[in-house]
Amino acid sequence: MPLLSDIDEKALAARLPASNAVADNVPLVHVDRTVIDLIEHPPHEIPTSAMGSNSDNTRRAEGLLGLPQSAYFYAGRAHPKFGSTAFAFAAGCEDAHTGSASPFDTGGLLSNPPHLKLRLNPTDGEAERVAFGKASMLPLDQWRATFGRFLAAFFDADVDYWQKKPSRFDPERLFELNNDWRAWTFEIRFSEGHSIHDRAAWCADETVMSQLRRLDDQQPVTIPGDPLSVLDQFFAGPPALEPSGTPQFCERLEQWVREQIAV
Amino acid sequence: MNSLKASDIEIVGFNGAPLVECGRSLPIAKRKSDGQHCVLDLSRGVDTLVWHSQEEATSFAEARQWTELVRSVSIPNACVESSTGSVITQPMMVFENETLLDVANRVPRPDHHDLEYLIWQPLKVGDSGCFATCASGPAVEAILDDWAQGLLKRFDAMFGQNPDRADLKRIADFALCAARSRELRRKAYLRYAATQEPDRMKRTFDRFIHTEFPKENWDCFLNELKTLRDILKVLPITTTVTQVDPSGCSTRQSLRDIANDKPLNLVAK
Repeated sequence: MPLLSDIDEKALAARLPASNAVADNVPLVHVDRTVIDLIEHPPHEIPTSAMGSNSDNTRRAEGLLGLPQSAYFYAGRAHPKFGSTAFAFAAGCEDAHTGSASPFDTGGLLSNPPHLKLRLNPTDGEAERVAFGKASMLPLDQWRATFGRFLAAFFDADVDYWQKKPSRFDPERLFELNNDWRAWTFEIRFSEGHSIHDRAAWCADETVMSQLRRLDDQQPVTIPGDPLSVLDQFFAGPPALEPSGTPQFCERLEQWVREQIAV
Repeated sequence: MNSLKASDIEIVGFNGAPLVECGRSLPIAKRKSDGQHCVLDLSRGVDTLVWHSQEEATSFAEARQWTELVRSVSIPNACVESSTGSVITQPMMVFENETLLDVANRVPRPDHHDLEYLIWQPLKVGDSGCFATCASGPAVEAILDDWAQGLLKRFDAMFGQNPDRADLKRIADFALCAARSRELRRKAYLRYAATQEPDRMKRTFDRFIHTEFPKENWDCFLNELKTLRDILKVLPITTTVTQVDPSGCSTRQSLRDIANDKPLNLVAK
């Protein structure tokens, strides 16, 4: 049974309007190794797995699920294991893209060995996991509606998505058997890269901010009227949430996300 | 809520890579009981930690998303509640490069801060000449600020001797990597600006200084910079510049080397 096909309609009716408001506005978040790489190397985009630093598990999951090489985002969540710079992109950024979404981390579902635990019939082997992964896939233009229903049905309060496990369990026991939030975080995939200049917010660790200052100091001075350099364009956008950087850059970005959607 | 027992945890590295000469980062913890690893960020509570297998941890280290220590270190006692043995406050990693400590006149590395013992370990990444240790968050900030103070003192001592501008700039740059307190960061920015080409100074002010110090005004900053330059030029020359460190490599030589070296972010891949 695909995840979220078993939602209790009565239980969610009362919470649905508020959860839909959160779902409609939640920014997409991507963590990359360092912003310096993305500034120095064209096309200055959050890369797809064809060019990015994604793991072999990501490419393996793409192959098994029949997905194109994709750029990966989480709905409102940031994980420091992916790098030292976290970006947030405003709701609606997906409108210009093709892609898909899943209500969990597909790399965790299909890594070898699998990181996410669940119970499928007759076994939770790779064939069943692939079938489950395919059946749970969502069209890119519909994931926010499903995300709203998910928040309303599985959490007592929308903020719990950032702080706790779902309070109800799913038939495949994905939420029961895992403590890792990648088991219930929506994964959004773009089939194309996404420009770093379109970011709504970003935050990095202190090392990245020092590197950025060094990079800036090496850049020639831009003559008025000349085209802006990539670095000039980057600085013309939103400044870092923590100007000197912070080791807890993911927590800081998630705090900003929650402020934007008032949870 | 679950608790994290310090006796079941060892620190095996830190998040990210040492791409500048010193800094701090979240620790990578390994649970002894099952070999699982996590980025030890307690800001959202122990229950929200995401644990990874040994295979994942190895792949993160190979991709330079995590940096491993040659040997693990313990959770600092300052972060542990003695009655329960639980980790209750955020531990932090601090890493350093020997050249920076030499220039800061902070060789050898400190073996304690207040009552916290510091066990320094080399990093596994190549021949980096970098070491790291784990301490409480306040201790790490104090250590970094102490290095920044040493670097600023070195800068001030050298300024009046008309040294190479590149030497001075690297010292101010090192100080900015180290300094955590607002007061020291502002001092470091003033000195960094004092060594820049005039054409770049306003850009640095707009992009970095003003974002960190939003109430700072360009005209006031410029005036303060002029005053600082005048004062530093008339300061008596101190003897620390010619001090020789225990490794046998003179500070003067180190300064020549760092001015000629490319910054780490350009060579570390």
